[in-house]
Amino acid sequence: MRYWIRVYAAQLKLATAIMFQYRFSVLIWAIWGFVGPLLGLAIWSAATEAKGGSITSARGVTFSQADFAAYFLVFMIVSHLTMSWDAFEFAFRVRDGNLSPRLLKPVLPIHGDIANNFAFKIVTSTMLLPVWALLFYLLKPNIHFSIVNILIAIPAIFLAVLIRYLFQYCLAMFAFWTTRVEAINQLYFTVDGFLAGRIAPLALFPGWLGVIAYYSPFRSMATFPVEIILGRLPAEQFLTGFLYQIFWLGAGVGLFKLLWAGGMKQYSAVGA
Amino acid sequence: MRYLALFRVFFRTSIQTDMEYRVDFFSRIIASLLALLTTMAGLSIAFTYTSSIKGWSFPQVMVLLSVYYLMDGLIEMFIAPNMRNIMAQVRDGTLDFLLLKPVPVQFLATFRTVNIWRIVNVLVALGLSSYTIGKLSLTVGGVQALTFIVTLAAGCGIIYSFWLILVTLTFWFVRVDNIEQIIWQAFEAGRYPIEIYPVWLRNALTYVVPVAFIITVPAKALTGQIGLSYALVSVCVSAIALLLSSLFWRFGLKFYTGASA
Amino acid sequence: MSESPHIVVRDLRKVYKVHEREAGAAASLKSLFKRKYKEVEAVKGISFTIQPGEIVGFLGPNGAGKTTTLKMLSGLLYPTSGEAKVLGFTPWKREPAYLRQLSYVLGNRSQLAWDIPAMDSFIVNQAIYEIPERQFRETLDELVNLLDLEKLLKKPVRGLSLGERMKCELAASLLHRPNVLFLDEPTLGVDVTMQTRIRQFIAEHNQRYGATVILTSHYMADVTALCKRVLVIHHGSLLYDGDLNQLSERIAPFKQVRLDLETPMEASEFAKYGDVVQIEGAKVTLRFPREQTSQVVSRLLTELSVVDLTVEDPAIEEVIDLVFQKVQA
Repeated sequence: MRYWIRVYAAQLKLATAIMFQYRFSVLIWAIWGFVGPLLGLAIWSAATEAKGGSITSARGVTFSQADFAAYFLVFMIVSHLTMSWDAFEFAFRVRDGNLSPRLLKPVLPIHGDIANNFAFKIVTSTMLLPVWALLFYLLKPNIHFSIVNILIAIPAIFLAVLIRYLFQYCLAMFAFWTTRVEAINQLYFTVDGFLAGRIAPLALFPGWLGVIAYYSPFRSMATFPVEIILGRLPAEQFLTGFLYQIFWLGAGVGLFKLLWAGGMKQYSAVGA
Repeated sequence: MRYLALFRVFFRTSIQTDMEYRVDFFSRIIASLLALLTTMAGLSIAFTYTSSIKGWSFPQVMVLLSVYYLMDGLIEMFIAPNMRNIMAQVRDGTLDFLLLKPVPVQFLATFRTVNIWRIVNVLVALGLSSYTIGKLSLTVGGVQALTFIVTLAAGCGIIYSFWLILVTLTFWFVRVDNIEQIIWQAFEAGRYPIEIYPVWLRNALTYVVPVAFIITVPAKALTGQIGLSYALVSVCVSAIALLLSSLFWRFGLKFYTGASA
Repeated sequence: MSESPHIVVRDLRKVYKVHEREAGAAASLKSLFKRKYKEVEAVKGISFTIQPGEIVGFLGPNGAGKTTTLKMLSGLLYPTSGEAKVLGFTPWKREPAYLRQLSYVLGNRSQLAWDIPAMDSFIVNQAIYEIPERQFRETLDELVNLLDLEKLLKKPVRGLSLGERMKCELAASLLHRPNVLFLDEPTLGVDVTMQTRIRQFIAEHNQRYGATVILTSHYMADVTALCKRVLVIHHGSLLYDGDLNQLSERIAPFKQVRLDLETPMEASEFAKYGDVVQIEGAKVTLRFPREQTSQVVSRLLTELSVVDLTVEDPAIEEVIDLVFQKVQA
């Protein structure tokens, strides 16, 4: 355990140093997360305005403009904290052989990558904090933070980070079999964004689409903590939400182990 | 035409490299279709609650979306892959090799590869727009079609210049490869009618990042919301942009030193 | 030697499946749906044993199978058949306990983070290899002295020259004092002074810590300076395993004679004595089978007007060239 703490601490320091070298580009990359939710907010505000101030779904869920602002802002922040993009890096490494020096280390490469992901979030969240504050001020969201809900949301966010990371990493490992994974990754991102509620809140999805979104792993990767923070989820559904998260986490770990073993076999058969 | 011949060689080799990666090839087609589909789904969810958003009906928004998608396809097909190459080459210093070739560097660098699979975007976009135009029961007259084509071509020139300027910046700030992100972030906004944005953003999308010229104007031309005179403005803006960006590129090239130097 | 060997390799074989495609658009479209594969036998069952502390040179032209072999021994590649034990481990099981004692320096790959100073990467290695603080400081000081790293450690890696980067790369690989060290073209693209420096360093390090070293290099000077023993590999087979000095006797038994003549002669006129290696005015170098030495020399002295004559062994580079030409033919 102490060994792992030391390894992670060292990797985290290294990754943070790299992040700071490129704070400008890192920030630009981070701002990417703003666009989707803000566009969603723009279109839904316009639609709400056309309907005279509020929209009510068939299931009786009501959103005003300020509610949309709250939804998309919280969604933006949670998405930022849980985002992951490792497929790109990983594919590059497999293709140009730079995975090899990493495989020679007595520690699996995923640990360094997780540390890298944490460093990214620490660095960018610090930089983005004032921007988020400014957006809260400008967009006047209808939100009442409750300490209890936020405390409950923290483990939910943590689990969401791990689930999203593991699924992304599994996807990245397709690079062992096909030399370019950008397309698969793009496909995944599109589905992820849509089913997690980047374009529209899941509560407004019509019937069957809503059901799919509810049971998809993407809800566990972002939407669930968002719903907790916004207070839109009844307390009795917290437990099932966490159970879903634990289920998907287990699935992610299993999938990772499977793909990694297969991937290593493939990588060491074809040549590094 | 020597350039045309060169371009043909580039085109052929890039198709071949693309075919080499077959899973990639198929999944890219599906990925870009799915991207369109989810945006359509999102919009149709919004339109189940209202029949018009800021004066745009659902079919009109679909025409706009198809123009967005068309442009996206053209950029990903011709412009983006080349600009990405340049940024990578500046970073690892291999742009030097290009500078040694007996062809103008701007041509060589910006028309090197073609991402052929993106033709699917273009075809789907054209299909979607014809379908929705049919649904709108609009008749697209000769003038209207001409306005559309001219504004679209002008839009291509503008977006090319815009990329070229940003890429030129990499000569000063090594590894701003994420600069591409800025462009796409701004471009994303073009998938919706710009009227839904606050005034300052609308102005920015018209004058700073000319998304309005690239997407909104051609879309409005196609739906008959604007006339031929607009096309003239677009062409002028495009010509000026091409000239300025080319001058800037040449200026930047003088400052360029390989990353290894 | 009482210790058991560090590296034991038996009948190691590696076959690659390579995707084959003709040039042209039609062929590439076809390959999208149906692919042809060709089998390439990169390593054809080689066997050897290396004792602790040996520095062994791995010689062979590009594509001979050197890197494939090293990759199998470091666990990056899974062999098609055969066995190998390094420090008692089977490399391709990739056990952490094995990886901790190994370093593999690939001349064209970097383990250092590109954008920040090398020192930061060293610290990560310290954690990963669990190097105690005192040992880390000691080893680092040593490496800094021997390789003259003082100024390099604070600069971002991307700003270093190729040679400087290689020195940092070596240092990063040696921090944990590996028992087995694979060096794949460590001096590629590095200038001559730096090459000598790196060579000296490797020799010193080997003496001090007794690590077993396998070295591949394009520069014969690297091999002659460091390795007593060489393995010559060509088209995936082991051609020679033994003393570097006996290499020429065993597989290229030639001698050379350098002649200084009174008057220049045509190259064709020497054909009856041996192969002309070099001819420059009245100075000629000839090569002939070792056993004919005395006969050829006496004929040269009687039949030509010789000013000066020296008999020597051919340069090791030429011997290697000869070997590969012979195999090719």
